[in-house]
Amino acid sequence: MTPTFLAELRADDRRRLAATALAAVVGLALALGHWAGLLVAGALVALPQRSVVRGVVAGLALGSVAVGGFLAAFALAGTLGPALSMGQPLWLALAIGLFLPPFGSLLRGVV
Amino acid sequence: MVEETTRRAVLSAVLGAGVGGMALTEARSYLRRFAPGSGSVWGAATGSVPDELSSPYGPATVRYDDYGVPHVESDDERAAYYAVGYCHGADRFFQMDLYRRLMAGRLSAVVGASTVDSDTFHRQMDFEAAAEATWERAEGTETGDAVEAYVDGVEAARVAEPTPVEYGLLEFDPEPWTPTATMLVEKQISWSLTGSFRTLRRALARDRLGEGAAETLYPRILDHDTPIVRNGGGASTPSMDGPDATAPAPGLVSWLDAFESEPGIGSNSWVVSGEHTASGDPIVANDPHLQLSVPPVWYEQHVATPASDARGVSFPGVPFVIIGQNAAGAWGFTNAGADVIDFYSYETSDGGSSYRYGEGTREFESSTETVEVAGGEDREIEVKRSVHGAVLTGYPDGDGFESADELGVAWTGLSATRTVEAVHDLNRSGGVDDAEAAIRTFDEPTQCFVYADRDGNTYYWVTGQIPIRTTDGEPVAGTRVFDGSAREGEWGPGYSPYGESSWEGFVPFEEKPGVRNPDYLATANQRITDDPEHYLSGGYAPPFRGTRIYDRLDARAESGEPMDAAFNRDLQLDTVDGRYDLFRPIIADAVEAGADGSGEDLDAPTAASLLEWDGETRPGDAEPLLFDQWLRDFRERTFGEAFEDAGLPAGFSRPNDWVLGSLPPDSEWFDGDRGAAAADAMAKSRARIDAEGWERYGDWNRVRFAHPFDQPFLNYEQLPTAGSAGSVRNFHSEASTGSSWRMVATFDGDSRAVLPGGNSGAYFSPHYDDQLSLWADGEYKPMTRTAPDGVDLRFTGADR
Repeated sequence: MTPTFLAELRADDRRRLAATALAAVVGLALALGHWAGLLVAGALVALPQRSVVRGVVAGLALGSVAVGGFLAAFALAGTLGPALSMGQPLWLALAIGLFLPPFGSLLRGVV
Repeated sequence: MVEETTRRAVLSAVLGAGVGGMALTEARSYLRRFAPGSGSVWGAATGSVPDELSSPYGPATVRYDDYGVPHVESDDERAAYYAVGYCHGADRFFQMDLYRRLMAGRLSAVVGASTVDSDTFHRQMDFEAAAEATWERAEGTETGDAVEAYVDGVEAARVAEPTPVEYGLLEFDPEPWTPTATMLVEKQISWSLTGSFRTLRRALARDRLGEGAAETLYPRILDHDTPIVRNGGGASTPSMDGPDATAPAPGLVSWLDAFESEPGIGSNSWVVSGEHTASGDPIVANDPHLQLSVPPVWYEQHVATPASDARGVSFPGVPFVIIGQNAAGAWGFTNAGADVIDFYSYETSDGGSSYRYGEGTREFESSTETVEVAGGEDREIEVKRSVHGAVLTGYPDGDGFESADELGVAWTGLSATRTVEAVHDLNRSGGVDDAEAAIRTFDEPTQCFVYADRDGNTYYWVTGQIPIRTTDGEPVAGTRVFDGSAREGEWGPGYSPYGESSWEGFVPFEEKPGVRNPDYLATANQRITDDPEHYLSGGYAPPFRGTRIYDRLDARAESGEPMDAAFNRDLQLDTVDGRYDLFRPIIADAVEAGADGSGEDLDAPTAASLLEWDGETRPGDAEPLLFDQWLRDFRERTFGEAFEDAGLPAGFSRPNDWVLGSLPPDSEWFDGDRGAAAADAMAKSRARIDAEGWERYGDWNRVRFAHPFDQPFLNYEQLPTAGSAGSVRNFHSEASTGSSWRMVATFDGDSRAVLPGGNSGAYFSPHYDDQLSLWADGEYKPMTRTAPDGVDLRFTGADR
């Protein structure tokens, strides 16, 4: 039931890795504009993976990258200290960043 | 195959439900605000800030110092105020916006139903129309031009700078800043300093407690001998000059309580001539006691143009330095407490749509307005005006007040006023004569103005328009509710609510209290003078601070030691609670009475130890904790039950501490035994201290400055601090009022000052709270007019 191009993509390591990298870049760019981008990003990086579990792991990894980039942006702006002092809002952001991509990656189990 | 199909179906359902749940429920709001990368609250943390901008008014530079104070320089005044506006917009836009919404009665549109009452009151007063009238007056003048440039600067910041985090949290967008908004901020300041409902409270107290009790508990003139102008005549004690036209409904008085200043609003200031200083130059000290908010009410700035070189503090939203120093002089303000508000009842007809006024009948100007409510149902309210000004009435969906639930209000601030022009002129003043000329047009609020210049002049004068009320052509005091229909308590014909007043029939400038070249003079909201030429006030602050300041100035003058800047700063930080001397004999009575809880096994200081205390409110000591708590309990023990029995509303304002401490020992308010009442209160407060686990004053007396959202991360850290409601170093722990700015200005380049918090209201700024510890520890930072190196913001000229 899986489309042929996805099956071929998953079978070819080089193409799979390239597609994953491209999906990560596109997904993260989308996440900068809208929260749903995190869901889409998770789905995009999961689709080239060979199994559902690997897809979810990829989504989780992408979430970690998103959260890491988020904190790095504070550090670069010199606002990491006050951001960490915010408490609940920051924990909420980290939870959202770590949860949405793997949740979106469940799409790997559908397609 | 079946298994895979099932898995796909389940995962599809989970995904669908999850995405639907996120997109269609409250969760969407959280995601929109807090998602990493796109969340609306994060833009303020990671957004880029420009360092070069174009200005339609020409070049200007901004250099921020180590505490985020902008030093603005330009060869053109309007270019300078464009830059000032940009700084205010970048650092304080949300605070300004909130002031505007509060005063315009539009808070509920963004915060919800909790502020509908506030919006109703502010719409009834129609401060916005008063601000519009004030702007119409200023527009086209030199000051108006500077305000317009400032407004354009604020707008440039609103567009260019990251949106403050609060907008993301509340999910609304900042609206454009306008000149009327600047005038609304000025109205907000004036209302917070002169908008008093004391007349209504006293009328209600007279109605419920009787004339004699009301005069005892709420005297207009307090029996002490330290007025601001010490002319040694002794105060006469005039009471009200006639009965109230009506007793206001208790519900109305309670309702209005919320729209008046918190207890503790006041200030200290003094000026010392060069005769008494080490340098031979005068010194000006000022610490206004206002709401201690997050961010602070003041914004510090330095603006240098060919016309002026002023450093000090302004209110965010107002372009000019209000308290500070320029190249020629230094100045400060304290509240004069003059009575500039009156209340009128009416005989109404036609179902309340008309009222009698003298021999004729007039229609109330009436309109229906909609109070928009975020997340709730909008409310329709009726707004009315009479010949006197606004008409206040209980909230339309309220509790059906039975009597006097509708009162006319005349307030000087409802007219077009010239205060912004006065402050602008003060910034440009070149000495005492210029300063006096400037404050002649300082129409509101009524203030005690202290000033000194580099030529050694010192100066004190009361500012602001003060009405002369007349009934049948005779001057009367504004101490009672007037019968508006009978034309009692009429103000001069020069007053035009919501228009431009000529101020004819108001107290002339020369007839207000003032002193030229005083040797030294101190103001702390106490009685201004023993023998004013005109009625000034319905009530003054107790003399605790004023007496202590004068005692220390007198002692220093007699000692021959100079009153240098360090002495003046030390005096500003004086922590002796002036109430202690008054109440110590009562505490001794409590100890003698025995039943003060001393015998209980409590982990709290004892009443006996209070008798050994030196009266200093140090955060590390236990005695000021017990004294402060006991005073609360003693006050409540004395008045609480009796007021309730008399039908006064819950929380009705208690008599002040001077009155309480001056009641005779056998007063009926103590049920004939003051010692027993004091002992009861002592036992209660000791038990509470024990139950709370407090050990020292600082456990209770902490800075608790809260942001309007009261989010933990936006509030300032709670720090123990010294001072009390009765000390020169003024601090009200519960009401969160106190020294909103401490300044000691000299002419030797060593002026110093400090803010309670930080100069920036942007949470992610390093200057959000970087002065808080300094303030709590009683330290100061330099207030020089030398700009630091390096340009932080450069405004380049552009064709307009």
